[in-house]
Amino acid sequence: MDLRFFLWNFEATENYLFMLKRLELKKSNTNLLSDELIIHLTEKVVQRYVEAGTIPKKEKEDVKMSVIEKFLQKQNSINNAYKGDAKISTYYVAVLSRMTCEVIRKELKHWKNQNQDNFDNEIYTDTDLEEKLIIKDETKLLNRILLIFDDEFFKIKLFLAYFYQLKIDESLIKEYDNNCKINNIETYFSQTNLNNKGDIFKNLANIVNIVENKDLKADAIRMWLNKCINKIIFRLNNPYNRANYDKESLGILFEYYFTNVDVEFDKKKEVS
Amino acid sequence: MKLQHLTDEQIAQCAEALSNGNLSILPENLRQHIKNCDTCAQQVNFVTETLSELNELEIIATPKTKINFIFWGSIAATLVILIGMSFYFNSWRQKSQAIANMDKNNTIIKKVDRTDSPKTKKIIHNKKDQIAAADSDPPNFEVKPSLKKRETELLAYTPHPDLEKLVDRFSGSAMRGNDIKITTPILIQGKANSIVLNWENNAEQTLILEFFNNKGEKLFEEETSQSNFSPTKIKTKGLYYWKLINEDFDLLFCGKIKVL
Repeated sequence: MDLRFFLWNFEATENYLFMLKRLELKKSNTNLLSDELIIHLTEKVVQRYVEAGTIPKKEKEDVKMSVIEKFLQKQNSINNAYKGDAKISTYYVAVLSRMTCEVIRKELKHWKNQNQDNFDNEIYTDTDLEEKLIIKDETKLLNRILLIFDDEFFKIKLFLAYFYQLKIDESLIKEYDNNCKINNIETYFSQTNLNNKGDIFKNLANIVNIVENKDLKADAIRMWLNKCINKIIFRLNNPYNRANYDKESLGILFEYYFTNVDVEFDKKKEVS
Repeated sequence: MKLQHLTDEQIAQCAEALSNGNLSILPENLRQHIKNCDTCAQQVNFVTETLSELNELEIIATPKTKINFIFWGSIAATLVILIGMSFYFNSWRQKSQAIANMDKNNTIIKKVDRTDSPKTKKIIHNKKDQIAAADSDPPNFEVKPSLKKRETELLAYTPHPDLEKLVDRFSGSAMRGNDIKITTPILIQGKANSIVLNWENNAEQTLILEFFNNKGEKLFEEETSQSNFSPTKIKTKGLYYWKLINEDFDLLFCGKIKVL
């Protein structure tokens, strides 16, 4: 009898594997990662909020201890809820992040009332990041925000580039119009015949109607693009007002992002 | 209707997909949710950012690797059991062979023939009865001094591995302590009561002597400031070990005694 065949048949059901995981978790009440690693992860999570200026530096240790305490109190339910769909460390980071947000929500007003001036100063004086690093981090964040738009990633990227009047690469156009429904689509994205922002949306409406086989007016495209821009700005500025982007500063950031394409940013293209 | 946010694990799932740049592996409902829900999207972004700073450790294997682990684990366990059993049988075979060899050399099997005795003479004539006689009155076997005693004697001289290692350390006359010098050889043998251990102790330091049998069990301990000692308490034949220790409980020497 082939042992491997036996094992595959014996264990191949999802239910069995799920039960196996649950049994393993129930065997011990200890965490799936060691205590040291949990403290390390908490440190990282809290540090990110400190760097974002959400948590004052002097409150960092208190917040860290509160989060660890919260985690230990609920460790059983946290472990029981784990199904194995993601890596355990990622899961723990998500849990710790949520718990940190809970602590911040509780204490934020108190921190601001306690020491307004010092709180504001710490944002700018306690970080040693150079400008380039900040821009790099922000462009990475922008890329992630755009990726979350999923199947509209290339469309939004292309339309934003056109909206902010940046030079558009042919490859990006082809990613959007992958069926090549429009001949000489590059001419549609030409910047030469634009008199005002209205012309931009007119062109975009024409393109969308051909490529996506729809019947939209320029206003619909304008509303859709504005909605996307507002969403991007909101996600850049939050949580807890980490930044103060508006349409203009988004345009600057987008320009940095669009013109400095990194290998990392091309992941989406490679994968799709 | 209040929008239900993603669970921590779903956020973790999305974060992993996002860090790989491939959201298409996610279920459709998750993809749509993070597209529309700012709160969850922010959480996902945060976790992704944090992940990019961390070295990820995976403790629990995915289902597929779990299966592989169990499969290869069972193969390894089976091999270990088979190898263990073969070693055991091998050593059992060697032992029984050694015992069989000892049997040949040491035991005398003596068959006592009863057919000449007066009792059985009467029934010898009838063949049928011959057989019946043989059946009803089986022959006697005599066995000489047992193998067990010989085995015990041999076991009494079996060296103790850890104590042997300790003795080896001092075999090149690696002595500790400046004022004490051992003059007895590392292995001293002789009859019980004839063994004397000697050393130079000019400063008449207090020394502690410990004696062990070949099983590593401590038999007794003596204190002396003399330059020699005779372990009269050891009377049984066998292999023994002795340690010389100073007042600071430093081990100065370890030697062997064979009582013949």
